[in-house]
This record gives sequence, structure tokens and C-alpha cells, in this order.
Amino acid sequence: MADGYLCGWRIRSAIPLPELMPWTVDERPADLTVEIGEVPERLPGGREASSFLQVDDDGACLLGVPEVGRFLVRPSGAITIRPLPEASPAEIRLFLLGSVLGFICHQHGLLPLHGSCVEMDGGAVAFCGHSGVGKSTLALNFARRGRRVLSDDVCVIESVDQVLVRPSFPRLKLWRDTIEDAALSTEGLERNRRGQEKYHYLVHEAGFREPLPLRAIFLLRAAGPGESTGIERLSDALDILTALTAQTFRPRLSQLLGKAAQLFQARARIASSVPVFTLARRPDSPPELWLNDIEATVRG
Amino acid sequence: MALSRISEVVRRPHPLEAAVGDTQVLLDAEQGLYFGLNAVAAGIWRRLEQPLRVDDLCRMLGAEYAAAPARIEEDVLAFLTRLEAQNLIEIRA
Repeated sequence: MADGYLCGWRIRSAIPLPELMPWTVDERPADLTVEIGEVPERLPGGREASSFLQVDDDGACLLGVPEVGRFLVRPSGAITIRPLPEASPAEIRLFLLGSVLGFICHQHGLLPLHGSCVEMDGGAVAFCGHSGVGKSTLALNFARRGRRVLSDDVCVIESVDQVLVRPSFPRLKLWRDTIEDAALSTEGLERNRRGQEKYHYLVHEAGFREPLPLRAIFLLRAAGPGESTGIERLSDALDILTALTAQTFRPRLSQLLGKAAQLFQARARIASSVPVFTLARRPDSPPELWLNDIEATVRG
Repeated sequence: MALSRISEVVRRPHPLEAAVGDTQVLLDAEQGLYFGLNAVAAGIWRRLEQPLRVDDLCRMLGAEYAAAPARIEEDVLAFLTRLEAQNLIEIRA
């Protein structure tokens, strides 16, 4: 099985990861490895970060997901999975390429934002917000306009000299309605979770392997009754930082892993140099109505 | 310890800080709270890197800003009280 590309890392996996683009960058050894094996229920010397997550002093993370399995993520990049018998392969990958990817980001001091991300004019534009607010639907519609998809669930941000988005993989998690509204079919698609009408939709032709400068972030939200809809730029530094923290995948984990300062500096750099907008829309209006406005806003 | 004009105050070491536009932002990572300081407040915060007596601080600010000494002292004490309430500074002596 060919190695895959994940956020600039070369990943070698004992289980198929059809979401990922094949690794074509260079001849380096694998940065991340995925194996199936025994994973203890408790991490020796580990502290509870939540009911399902333990972290030890070396920075190893152990995630236990009921009815799915246990995931041990070492800071060396060695990942061991102990699947439970009832778990589907798609569910294992959902947590591997979601939660576990978030842990790897924190271990490396990278900022994992909850959001989808697409390419626009050589830059990256991220869409953050609560589940169901339209992040993946927007990415799907931009992909259908020929734009590259950098991420769907975890948008991985690196801040060194500039703020860059590292592409993860071009898979979108979409509800059946969204797929059918786009005149696509759920036939042959894997379900996100057993019994859930949400599917994994791969847009490999929209994949991308180059980090891109972050051009804009849109915070999506549903406009309340009587509230006006539209795009507004946030200007207050604390509002931006608070919003970025709220959109960070497990924000307290950086503290436990000793990376709080790096993530704070990354957020501060975004707040200083990247425009952050709110997009309030009616919950019953299709997110794709906003594509032109979003493009015009990004172009300024 | 009660705050007065003869108190010595100093920053606690834990907050992370960065400049964002005109605002100096502090993050208390343990509490997960952000604080924004405007230019005047950031100037006071910078001076508190070393332990400093409140009346000395007020004198420095008096040389910098055209305001009545009583007004400066009142504003400084109010600001320091807020910093102390958020556990961002330590009051000694």
C-alpha cells in the first residue's frame, strides 16, 4: 500500500486510508505510522484530559471511543489502534483522521481549527462553526466550481514566518440531503457512523499537497429570528482570539502538552494578519447562495 | 494584601502575551482567559516587569501624561485592583 500525504507528513498505514492523496513529495522515511495492535485501557502515569482521553508526561495521548476502539498516539508519530469488533472501517478512520489528527497537531504545536478549507486564488480560506452550520456544504460547492479542497473537519494551521494551512485530504462529510441536493448519489459511499445518514464523499480531483497562506477565515453561524444576515469583519482583537479559541479542536490539550504558548502566538498572528469574518445566514437558506459574496469578500 | 500607594506590585509570570493591532493581549492559559490592554494600560504592564511601588509608578505616569496627580493615582489604583482580581499581579509589602 502506498504511503499517504497528511498535512505535510508521510503516513504509512496498516489499514487502507482511501481519503488520503498518495505521498509524492520526497523520499523521506514515514513521519507517521499506523498499526493495529494491543492498546492498554490506561496510560501509565497518564492524566485525564476528558472521560475518553488521557495524556502522559511524554506527550502520548490515549483516546478510548466507546463501540469504536482505542487509539494510542505517541509523540514520535507511532499510532496504534485497537479496534473493537463492532467498529466499521469508516468509523476507525473517522477518529484517526479527526481526533487523532487533532492530537498530532497539538503534539507539534500546530493549530487545529474545526473547519473546512478551500483554495482561492493561491491562498486558503477556512470555514469554521458548529456542526451542521454548512462548513462541508460550502466546501462541496466550491469544489464543484473547480476549487481545491484542503480540509473538511480539521484545518491544520502552521504559523512560523507566515500563517499557512497544511492540506489534509479532500474528503467531505455530507448529509444525504446535501448530496442529493447537489444531484449526487450516496450509492457506493461509506457511512460516517453506523446508522447515520451522513456519508464520506471523496473529491480526489480536488486534492492538493502544498501548504497555502491563510487568506481569510469565515465563522459561520445561523442568524436568529429578526437578526440580519450577511458578512461582517471582526475588528476587536479579543473577539477574534476568543472566536479562534472556540474553534480550536480541544483547546485545553495544548496546555497539557506544554504547547499553549505556541498556539497562543499562532492565534495572535492570525488576529494580526488574517481577516476574520462572521457569516450569519438563515438556517433554512442554502449555504451555496453565499459563494459569490464569499469570493468577493476574500478578493476585497 | 491591601493595595495602597505605598504597595509594591509586580507581574505574575504566567500570562502569555502578544501585540494584536493596537491591543496588547494577555492570555492566562491556566484560566483560559484573554485580557486586552490599550496603549496606556500596556505601558503600565510593561513597567510592572520589575517590582515597583505604586507612588513611583504614578510619578512616572505623571511625567508622561498631562493629568492631575490625584486623578492618575485614582486610575492607577483602579487598574491595579482589576489586575489583582484577575490574579495577573502580585502585591507585596
